[in-house]
Amino acid sequence: MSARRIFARPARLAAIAPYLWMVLFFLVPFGFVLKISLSQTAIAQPPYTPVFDFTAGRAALAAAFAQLSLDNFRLLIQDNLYILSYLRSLVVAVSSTLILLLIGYPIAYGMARLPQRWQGIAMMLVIVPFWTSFLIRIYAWINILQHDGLLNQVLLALHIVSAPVIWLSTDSAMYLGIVYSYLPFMILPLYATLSKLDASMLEAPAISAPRRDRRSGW
Amino acid sequence: MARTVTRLTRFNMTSLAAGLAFLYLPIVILVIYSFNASRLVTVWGGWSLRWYHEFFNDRAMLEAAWMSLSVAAVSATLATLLGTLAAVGLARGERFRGRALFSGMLYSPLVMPEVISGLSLLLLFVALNAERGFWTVTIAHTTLTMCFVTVVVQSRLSALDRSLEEAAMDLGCDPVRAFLLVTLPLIVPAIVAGWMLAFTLSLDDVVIASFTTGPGSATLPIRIYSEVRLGVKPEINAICTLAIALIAVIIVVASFASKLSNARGESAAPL
Amino acid sequence: MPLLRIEGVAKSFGNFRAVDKLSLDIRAGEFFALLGPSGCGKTTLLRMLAGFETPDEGRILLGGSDIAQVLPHERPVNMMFQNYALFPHLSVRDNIAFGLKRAGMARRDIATRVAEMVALVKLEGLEKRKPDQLSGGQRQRVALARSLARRPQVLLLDEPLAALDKKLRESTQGELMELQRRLGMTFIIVTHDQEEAMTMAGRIGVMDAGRLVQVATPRNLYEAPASRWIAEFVGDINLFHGQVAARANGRLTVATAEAGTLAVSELWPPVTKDVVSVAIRPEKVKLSRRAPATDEGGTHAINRLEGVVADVNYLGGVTSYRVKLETGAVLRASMANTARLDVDAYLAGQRVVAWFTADDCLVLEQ
Ligand SMILES: Nc1ncnc2c1ncn2[C@@H]1O[C@H](COP(=O)(O)OP(=O)(O)OP(=O)(O)O)[C@@H](O)[C@H]1O
Ligand SMILES: [Mg+2]
Repeated sequence: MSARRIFARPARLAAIAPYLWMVLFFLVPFGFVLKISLSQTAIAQPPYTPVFDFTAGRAALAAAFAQLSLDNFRLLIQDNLYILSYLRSLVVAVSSTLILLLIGYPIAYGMARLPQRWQGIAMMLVIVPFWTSFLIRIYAWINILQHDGLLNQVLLALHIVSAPVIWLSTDSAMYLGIVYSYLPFMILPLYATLSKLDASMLEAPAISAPRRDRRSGW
Repeated sequence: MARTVTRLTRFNMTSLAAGLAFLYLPIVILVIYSFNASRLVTVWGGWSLRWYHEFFNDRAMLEAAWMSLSVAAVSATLATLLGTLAAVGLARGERFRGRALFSGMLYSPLVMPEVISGLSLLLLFVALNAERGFWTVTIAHTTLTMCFVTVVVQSRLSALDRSLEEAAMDLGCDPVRAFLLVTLPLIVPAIVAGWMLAFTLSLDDVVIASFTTGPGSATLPIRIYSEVRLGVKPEINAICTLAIALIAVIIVVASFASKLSNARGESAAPL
Repeated sequence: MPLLRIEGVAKSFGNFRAVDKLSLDIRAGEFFALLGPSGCGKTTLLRMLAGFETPDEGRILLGGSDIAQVLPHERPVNMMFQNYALFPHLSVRDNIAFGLKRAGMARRDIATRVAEMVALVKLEGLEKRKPDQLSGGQRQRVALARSLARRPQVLLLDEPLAALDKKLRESTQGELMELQRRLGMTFIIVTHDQEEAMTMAGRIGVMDAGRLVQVATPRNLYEAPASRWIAEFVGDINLFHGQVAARANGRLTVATAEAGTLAVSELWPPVTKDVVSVAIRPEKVKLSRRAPATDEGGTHAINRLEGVVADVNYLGGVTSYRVKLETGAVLRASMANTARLDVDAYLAGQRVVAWFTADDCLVLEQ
């Protein structure tokens, strides 16, 4: 027995409570959802009828399993509506990732090039909004984007537009919301990678530049 | 060439400043508007606490706020307890039967759509004939957030030098005491971070709470959500500002507490 | 009955045998050193003694009873870890007091013992610091004090002095020896430093690839190594391979390719093979400008080798020379600098005669 094994026994005992919790509140309910997705439309009348009858016993359970079908998944594949909305989600996800990369990279790069002691502060500043509520952050934008919101006021005052523009519930607002919410998630890993890359590597071309140029800098 | 580097730096600074402004501007505007005396967002009616006053007289809102805070506090505490135990099991339990299932159950909620988590728990509560309200939401939030706590604490535990526990055993601790006297104090920062994460995730959640709560016991985000759909109310600005202030206080207290717990070990010896 | 008896102990990690059927007796009050190349299983052996690993085979008897299955916290054995394993959240004082509190010692006694330990390792004034506020050497001393504080029957030290500077290491060596004698404790120390092992230990065990290849007093280990490998591992040595040409009166004549015919006194047990190596330590090789008189018949028969000084290294107390022999082989010699002015020194390029007696040579089987 190694020291690790001596520790393992009480550690496994510690896991019993969370194990039972997850079985009861994750695995079992997940089974319900799976069951519904596999059952006939008639059976699936959520949320107000129990899906399994706990008192029915093993035989009934087996019978219930026998009824499971893949019809719902077939429907999922056959119905154009579902496929189109999946595709749309995919397009949104890919294009917002690209936008996030475009915006996030210069920020992360700027952070990585800061003097060492400022980097920590900049990182805190990026993280803090992440701790505030998602709902609040989106709500904050509603203040700005609504019909008589700040953005329209500014645009009107500068005579850029002659009538208020409808921003909310548009694609641009959706992208804005996504980019705003996920920006810290884009910046932090980029920053982590960039700050590990030695800054000198990015400056290498500057150092190997012709002498004349460098002297002229003096 | 040297000039390119400085110009690059200036570009860096600008993009960094613009990025931070982008992150903070909406929040700052929201806070400022919460002190606007005017009902209309268009008009600046001068500084006023009117909307805070309104919020503190809005029974339904206050009840929702209280419900949210207590759900967040109770579920975060439960989740921290269960998540830490789960992390210990995963990080120190070596191989055991059911380990794959256990870690699978703990990692899936992290990537599963909230709608499915919410729906599946709703089905369970209906099947169990449980009355939906405070406890069902708390259980739902605990289940989701303990997975986050597990990840945070487990990564800290795996990074910890195992020879510290061996040294504790060598000096006369059984495994449980070695954990309590040496390992636990060293993972306190991760546990605090896990609690905070759980607390804010719970305060944040609309979807799962909508599925698992019953009539008459809405959480604050649910109420805000339904109010916002009817149009912007300045009172919401005030509530959001208070929520931001609360989060800020929690962050400050937590970082202070972890510093304090570091300093305390100096003289007060654990027994 | 020895205090600690290790009987045929083996430990594998997967297919790799870290410790291979190792047996060793350690007497109460002994200062024992384990010496061996990196990865030979020294730490693994100590960990089995401390209880962190259970042997796959064999027994570990402490005071006559088998402790192989006893948990670490129930053994009267303490270990000083190679990486110190100080508790980062506790001060120096609390680190040292940790084991005493677990033993249920009275508060006042703990304070006295901690003060004594702090004084012993010269950490006065640093009691309230955390490990991360200490230098490497200071940390090492805290780890030492912490493992000593409980006065275990057996103290295991895994390279305890590696991070100390030479001065501090030497004084700590002295203090460890003094403490070990005074408390009558049994120390098992792992070290990479041969001088350290020789200075401190009563006996030294040399390990290679999980086995104990020789256990001897420092003197015997150095002057009578059991194999070529040990001879080369412990200290510097010149080796010449050859064939036994004649044996007579406890004297061997060995024909070597690199150093001609050498006369060697035979040790007990006598060598049985014909293919052997002749080994001579550098400090036993004398250099002179002219050859000394030979003494063919007597026990002090002299081996003489002519050559040119290739290299001179002045090291303070000694000077070491590399002499290039006529065969092209290199012979190392070292001479104590007994006089301040270099009357005895040789210069590179100088022709010299290197000589040594038959008694100073060792004959080792391949
Ligand atoms: N837990 C382990 N799992 C697998 N292999 C191990 C383990 N512990 C040690 N080993 C291997 O066993 C061998 C002996 O290791 P050990 O730590 O005892 O060496 P050592 O003699 O103390 O070396 P060093 O002088 O470098 O400290 C090494 O080859 C090492 O890689
Ligand atoms: Mg080692």
